[in-house]
Parts: sequence; C-alpha cells; structure tokens
Amino acid sequence: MTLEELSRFNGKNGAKAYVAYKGLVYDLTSSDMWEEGEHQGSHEAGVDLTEAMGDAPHADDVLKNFRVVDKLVDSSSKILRPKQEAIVEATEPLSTKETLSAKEKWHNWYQIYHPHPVTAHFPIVLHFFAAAMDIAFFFSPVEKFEQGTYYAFLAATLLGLFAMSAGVLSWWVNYNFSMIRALVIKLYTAIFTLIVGMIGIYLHIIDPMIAYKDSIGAIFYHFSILITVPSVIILGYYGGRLTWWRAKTSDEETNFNAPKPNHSKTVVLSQNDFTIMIGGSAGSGIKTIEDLLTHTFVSMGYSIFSTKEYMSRVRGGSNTVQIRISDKDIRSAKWKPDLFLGLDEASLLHVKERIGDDTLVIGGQNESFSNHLKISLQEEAKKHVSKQLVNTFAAGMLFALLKLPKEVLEESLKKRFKEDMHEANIKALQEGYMYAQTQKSEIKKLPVVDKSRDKEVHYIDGTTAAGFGFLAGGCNSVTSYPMSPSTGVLAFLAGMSKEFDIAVEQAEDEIAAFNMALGVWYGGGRGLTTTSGGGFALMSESMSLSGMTETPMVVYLAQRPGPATGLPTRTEQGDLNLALYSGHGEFARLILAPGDALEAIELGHLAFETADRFQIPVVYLSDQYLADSVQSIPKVDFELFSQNRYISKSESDYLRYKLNDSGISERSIPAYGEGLVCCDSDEHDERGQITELYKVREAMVQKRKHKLEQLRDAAIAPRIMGDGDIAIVGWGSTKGAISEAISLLDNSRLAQIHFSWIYPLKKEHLLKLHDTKHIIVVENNSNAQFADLLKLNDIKVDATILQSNGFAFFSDTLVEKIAQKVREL
Amino acid sequence: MNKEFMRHDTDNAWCPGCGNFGILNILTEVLQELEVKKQDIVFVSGIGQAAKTPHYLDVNMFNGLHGRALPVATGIKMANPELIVVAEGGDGDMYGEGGNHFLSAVRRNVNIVHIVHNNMVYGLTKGQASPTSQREFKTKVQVNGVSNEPFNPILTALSLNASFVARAYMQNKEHTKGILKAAFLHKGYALIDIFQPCVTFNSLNTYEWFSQNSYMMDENEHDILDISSAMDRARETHPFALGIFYKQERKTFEEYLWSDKKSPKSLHVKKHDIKEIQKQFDRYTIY
Repeated sequence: MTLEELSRFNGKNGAKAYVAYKGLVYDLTSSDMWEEGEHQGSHEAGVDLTEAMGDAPHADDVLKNFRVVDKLVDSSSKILRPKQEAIVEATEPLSTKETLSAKEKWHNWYQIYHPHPVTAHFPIVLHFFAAAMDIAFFFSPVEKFEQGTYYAFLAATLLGLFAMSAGVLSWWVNYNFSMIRALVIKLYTAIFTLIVGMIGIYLHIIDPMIAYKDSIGAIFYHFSILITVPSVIILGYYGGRLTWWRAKTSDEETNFNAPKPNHSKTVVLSQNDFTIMIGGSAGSGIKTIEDLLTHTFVSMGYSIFSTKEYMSRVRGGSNTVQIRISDKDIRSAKWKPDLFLGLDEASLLHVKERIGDDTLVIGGQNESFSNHLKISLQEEAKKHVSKQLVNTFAAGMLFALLKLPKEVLEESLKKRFKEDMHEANIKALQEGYMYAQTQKSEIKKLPVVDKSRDKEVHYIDGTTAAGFGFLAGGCNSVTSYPMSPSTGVLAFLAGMSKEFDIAVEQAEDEIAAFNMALGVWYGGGRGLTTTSGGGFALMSESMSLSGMTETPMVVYLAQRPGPATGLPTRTEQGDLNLALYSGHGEFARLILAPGDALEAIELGHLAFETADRFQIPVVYLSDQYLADSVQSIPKVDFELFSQNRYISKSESDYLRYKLNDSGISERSIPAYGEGLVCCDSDEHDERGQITELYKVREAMVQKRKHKLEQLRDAAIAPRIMGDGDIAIVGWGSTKGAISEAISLLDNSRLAQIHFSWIYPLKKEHLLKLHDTKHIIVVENNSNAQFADLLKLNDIKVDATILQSNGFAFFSDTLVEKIAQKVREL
Repeated sequence: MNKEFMRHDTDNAWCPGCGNFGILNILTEVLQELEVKKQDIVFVSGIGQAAKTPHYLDVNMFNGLHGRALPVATGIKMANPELIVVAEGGDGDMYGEGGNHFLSAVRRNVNIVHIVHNNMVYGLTKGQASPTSQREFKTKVQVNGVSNEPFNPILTALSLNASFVARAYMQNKEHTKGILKAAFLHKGYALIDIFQPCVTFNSLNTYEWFSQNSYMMDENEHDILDISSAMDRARETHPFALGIFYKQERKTFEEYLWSDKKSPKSLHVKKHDIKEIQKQFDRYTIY
C-alpha cells in the first residue's frame, strides 16, 4: 500500500492500526500499546515509523510479534486498488463495552493504588543506606557499622521482592508483558539485584563475621552490597523514564486528555475540551449559574459553547444547561459530560443515561455512579448558607474542583449580579469553594488557555444572531404572534426598536402577523414575522398571497418537534417540507437555514436582500437548538452588508406587474411618484387588475416561474470541507455537530457538504455530490426531508442518519453513528 | 357628476341594481369632496363582491385574501402613517372570516376607515347565510332557516370602546356621504357598516325591507359622545338605527407605535445606522 492508503489505518474508531517500518506494513491493532492508534501519546498509527524507531526506548524487534500485512510502496508506482476495499478492512466493528475482564479490574485497582512506585522506593533507599554503612565500615570496622550494613541490606532485598512483584503486576496490566527496551532492562536488572542480594545474605548467614574477613567470600559479600547501588539506580531511572515519558514528549499541562493505557474499547474522543452540565428544575437558577460560568470562563480566556434543553413549563421539571470549555472554538454539544452538577435529585434521574464512567457527578444521593460525590447540594447549601443560594454555592464548588481561583468567579459575579445580591452570593460561592476543597474528587485538568487567541472574542446565541442579521438586512418592522422557540427574535427586535426605527406589533394570530408584514412591505417597509411550525402552518395561505402579489416577505421559522403541539421547547428539523410546500398554487420562494451563528447573521441579511430583490417570500429556517445555543463568533463588520433598496419611484403610467425578460417588475410603493400601486391576489394583468384572459394567465405564470430560475442562479453554494469520497451531507443547525464528528473520526475518506441555501438548489452546486462515491445525509427529523429534496435533484443518497427525539445531534454520539453507516456502505 | 376617482378601464362584475353601485358612487364623491390626492390613498380589501370595490376606484389598491384586509391595512399604516388607508369588504369577509382581525383592529385604534358592505348574505358564493343574516332566513345551506343569532357589529365595536362607530343605508345617499366624510376626517379607527341590498341572493333583505327596518337618528336626540346611549341604540333592531352612534378622540395605534420618537414619514425613506448596529453588536456579544 501507499503512504496515503496507510494513513487510513490510523487505529481510530474501529480502523485497524498499521504502521510501516523499513518498507513493511505491520498490523498493531491487537497491541495494547497502540490503543486507538496511539502509542505513548507521541506516535500515531497510519504512518511510516522507520525514522522514529531510532529514538524509541525499545528495539525494532518489538515488531516481530506482529503480522506483516503489506509492503509499503511509493505512490508513484502504486497499483490502483478500489478504495472500497481499503475501507472494508479499515472498519472492523467497534467493540462496544464488554464486562470487565480480570486484567481490567486489576488495571483499575492498579491505577488507584499504584503499588510499584509505592514499594520501589524503600529498597532503593535501603540499598543506598547499606552501601553507605559498608563504606563507613571500611574506614572504621566497628560492629555498629557492620550490623547496620547487614540489616539494611537484608531489609532492602526483602522489600525488593515486594517491589518486584508489584512491578510484574504493572508490567502485565499496563504493558501487557511487552518486551520494550526499558522494561527488559528493568527486568534483568531486578533479577540481578535480587540474586546478588540473596547471595550476600546467604554468605552472612553462614558466616556472621564474614565482613571482617579477607576471604573471597568476604570480597563477594562486600561487592554484593556495593553493586546493588548502580543496579537500583538503573531500575529507578527506567522506572522514571516509563512514568514520565509522556511529560517529556509533550507539554504536561495540555496532556490532560492524552490516551491512557485504557481498558475501554469505546470511542475515546481526544479533544481539548471539558464539558460541564448543570441540572435543576425550572426556576432553580441554572440559567443564572450558566450565565455566570460562561462569562467567567470567557473572561479567563477560554472558548465556550453552551446549550440548554428544558421542559415546557415555567416551574419545576428537570432542565439542563451544558457548557463546553476549550482552548479552541466549539460548535456542538456532547451527550456525555465530563462533570455533572445536579442541583436536585430529579436532575440525576433526568440525565442518568448521559453519565459516563468518567463523568464526575456532584450531588444526588438516590442514584449511584462510578465517579460520584454523593451529597445533596441543596442540603449542603442550606447548611453553609441557604437553600436558595444552591446555584452560586455549586458554582463555587465547581471552581474549587477545577482548581481555578475563586477570585475570578467573584469578580465576574460582581459584574453580573445586582449589587444587593453580592454579599449573600459571594458568601455562598466562598462556602461552596471551601466545602469542595474538603472533598476528595478526581477531576481532569482543564485545557490550557491559548494566549495567542484574538483578545476580542464575541459570543452570541442563534436568536440574537438572527436578530442582528435582520437588522443588517434593514428589517424595520416585526409583527408576530408569540410561539416558542421563535419569540426571542420578536423580543430582540422589540428591544432594539428604541435604538432603531422598528415598528413592532404583537398580532392577534399568525395570519394577521403575516398579513401585517405584507402591508408593511407594500407600504415601503421591510417586514418580518417570527413563528414556529404550528404558526407557520396558519401562514400557509399568506405565503401564497406573498407569491401571487409578488410582495416580498421574510419569515423567521424556528422549528420545534411536531406534529401539532409536539415538544414545544425542544428541537427538530421537521418543518422543511412545510416550508417547501406551504401555500396553494405555484410560486417562487427561498428557503435558507443557517448552520452557525455567523451564518445566522449573514443569512438574516441575505433573507431581506433577496426577498426585496426578487419580490418573493423567504423562509429562514432555524430551530430551538440553534436559537438557544451560545457560540463564539468572529467580529462581524456590518459595513460589509450592503444596504440596497429595490423600490422605484413610479411614473404616472406605472404598471406593478409589467412583463419583462427577468420576470421581476419594478416595485413601487404608494405615494412615491405619480403612479398607482395595485396588487391583486386574483390572477391579474400588468396593472394589477383581475383578469381571466388565458394568455395573460400564461404570461403571469411564466413571469413568476422565471423568478424562480433567476433566484436559482443567485444560489449560494454548499460548504464543502475535505475531499474524501464519502460525503456527509447536512443542512442548517447540524453543521457544528457533523463537522466535529468528522474531525474526531479522522478518516480522510470523509468530506462534509453542508447546505444553508436549501431551496431552490442550483445544478452546478450539486456536481460535487454527483462526483462523490457515497452520500450520507444527516438530519434532525425522521423522514429524511432534505434527502428527499436531493433525490428530486437526481442525487443518489446511500444512507441517512436521522434523529427525532427532541435533541440536537451530539458530536460524541454522531461519531459512532457515522462510523456505523460508513461500515455499512 | 364628477367621477375623478372612478376607474373606467376595469370591467364591473356586480349585478345590475346591486347596492354596491350606490356605495361606489358615494365613495367617489366623498373622496373628491375631501380633495385628497389619489396617490395618497390605499384601499385594502379581501374577497367578496364588496371587496371588488377597489378595482373600480382609481387609487392604490391591495386586494388580498378573504378576511385579511384589516391586518394588511394595519401594516400599511405601520410602514407609512401618512397614507389614507381604507379597509373595505362585505359582512362575511370582515365579520366572519376576519372576525378576529375586526376585534383587534377596533382595540388597536388604527387610524383607518373601515367600510363594511352589509347585505346579510354571501353573494360571491351564491347565497349562503352571513354573520349578519337575520334568523329564519332560508338558503340552500341553511335549509331550515338561519338559527344563529345575527352578529351585531355596532354593539361589538362599542363594547371594545371603538373610537368611531356608524351605520348607514346606501339608499340614504346624503346621510351616508355625511357619515363617510366624518369617518375620513376622524383620527382613529372608524367603522361604517353600510346596509346594502343584494338583489340576486337575498330576497328577504330588499331595498324595501331596509327602508322599512331602519331609521335615521336625530342628531339633537342622540349624544354621540355618550357610549351608554350609543349602546342602547345599537341594541335596537327592526328598525335599526342609522347614523353615528359614538365618536371619541383617543391616542391612535400609530401614535403609540412611535410614541417615544418622531414617527418616520415612511419606513421606506430611512435606513438603519450601520455604526449603531455595530455598537449594539459589540455590546451584546463581547462577554
């Protein structure tokens, strides 16, 4: 195989672990030293290690134990092999977690008590002591030196036995009796030390006065005592080298998540991030703690991502917030947190299935987890301060556990909380901090802040981002009927109506909301309506009116799971077909779906520009997940957003629907020029007056259809990342999760193709899909609605990954789903 | 007769003798006498025979969906408060399909003229009961006669504290003109329910029936500032009272909308200040 082919066998996520050495390719998949394709935290499978072997602490004969599977050939002389073949080999089933074997149990035990380092230091010290006493004896042959030498040597040798037994255990559980150089040296040296020790003791037992004599036996006796010093130095040196190897090769601080010689066969995500989840009832203050923590972590220089899932109720229930902390940008949520703070018992029941073996759980007494601080946070808060302050108490605990300075949190609290709240909350925070310091809990270190990052980091949620996009698009009116999860945009623009000229009205229903916005556009404004699926269903007729009268329109449709009332506060991408097919009759429309916060702004602007330019309704599809998640965003230069106006002054002979080549007639507004502006929902002639002349009808149908083609030409291409032959295709809010999952899979065959301009699709933009061997569509719905749209465009979809449980895709679980589908191709 | 506001290049679809003609004539005369510029007037309508009126007028027009004229009219006033906006339609359009919008428009006090042609029947769909159909009125659908209580738009509007409520009968031309003119001059929402016979589908509520079942309120006997007596009059049926029931000046929707700043003449002429957007963005996003 070629180097390129070799790189696919990187040992990750079920792929085999191959390495090349001196022209041969070895299969190291079975080696415990190469779990997840990584060796000692410094080498990765899938590459040629010929040069690296020279620096290895072991000889190349370690490879003798492994099977040679192929020869490494120069890519220029490679014989083409179908890529499929490679992936079949590369994707052996991921072994899911089995019950712990005896070895794995010992491994766990060893990790906690690490007996070898504990026992090894005594014999080392005693061997040194014995040798020192013996040297003293040479200078002053008195009995106390002789006795000291002998008993120290005796103790050293006996304790050495224990150290050796522990060493053998370590050799087994941690290194699988691997014959790497350091271990082999340690083994021989230890045996030598033991034998020499036993001979020395034996000589002393036969002749207790041997130290004073001049015999060969006496020389050997003294020699045995002195020679063990260099031998324990060798033992200690290689022991230290094995232990500290990783620290030497990479920065210890950043290495908190380096693969341990782990027994777990599940997918290990090696990412520099830490995921905190906080659970509690509605109204218990988890929103406050989320706000405090995200701001504090950002002030410390971390990059954060936060998301929430909540029940459709104002009080009680179980809600969670998730905060991911990293040294780089993150744009997706995880299923399993590293740390879970349960403010009440119910929250633990709620997240039970999301707690992994490595998750540190703080709080809750009814449930049990492997890594669990079993306390009632509310009781502890009550004991130290008061039950109401459980959220800041918990925040203090969290900072202590993460070994972060509490002063930063206090500063942040002072900035975020009202002044009369400071004293009590800071006390709660300090009490929590101190309390946690008394608790024994192991926790991963946080990633190190990347100081080179741009100082000016911006954070925004999808709701606010959409709002700014609409503002940039010149939106100056919003008329809506409140509906979760869309209401945030209505509230944002209402809040902005003091700074900008924005006409805001809460309509009596969605039908009125849409029709008011049409009135706004007709009158010269740029109107928006915000809604969710149920409300949009009511707007269906108005979509058609916008299409027929060619009155521009923008609808912000934040999806939630249906049908009917569905799950009002949760997420889904289930309304694509609704947006696509809403409204009777045939007319042009645009559907946009932002994939992240930056796109949320850009598409907000584009929605208004395109609606105005083509005189069509535009549906901006967001969802609860995107709307409620906070992510980093680069600084946006609003000067770059064009502020075009497409309204023309009318002449006295103005015709609203004048036929021309483009299908787009000049749009004027009342009282702007000498003409009259007549719009009609009936089929109309160029003047906007009712007609039933079939030729006029035909011309008008073609006019509206022609607009669709013009619009198609203006389409934005999907984002293509990577050039693999398996395309993971998504649309809208799944962008971040798919992107993270692909980067975790680290399989060069995978490429991400992501759509944010959903309809109408342009043929040229689908060429990449035609060229791609396999297509897997990822959608947050159960009917694969976008895959259907692709099929209508003659795209062959090989597989779909669908989810409609009310959650967005999590990067850590999506990894496994993609790996599974890739195997099945 | 000067018909400056009459449109001559469209084909009228009403039946000969339809009461709508009378209303159309009155409207053109009122608009002319008010000396308004036709470019400044927008007629918004829904669907129905009455909703076709804007097609026959030489003004700006938005002929939308059945029942939806009021929200569109509201939106137009939001975008450009200086336009004279009229929402016009029939009883089925405005009180039936658009009933919810009617309630809200009254409450909002949008500065529009709301003209409802009330012929107590559905004309466009050929003769079914409308919300204002009288009990016992038989149709092909209501075969045993209408059983629902007729909708009382006057009393409903009064109960919502409407700022101008009137009823007219198109046959009383000068009376109707006077009321319409007052409605146009009124600042705030003005409802004019206009009786109008349907000669084809309503054989019960004929010209004669309307004449016999209505009377003009004496201006000296009815205090249009007194809502209680207005409500008493509104409760009267057979005969129905005609004239302005009630009138009050109160803050309009548009005045509330732009209360904390100077109302822009039209949203069209203003653009958002990009620097202000940038400033707000930084304020929101820098943690």
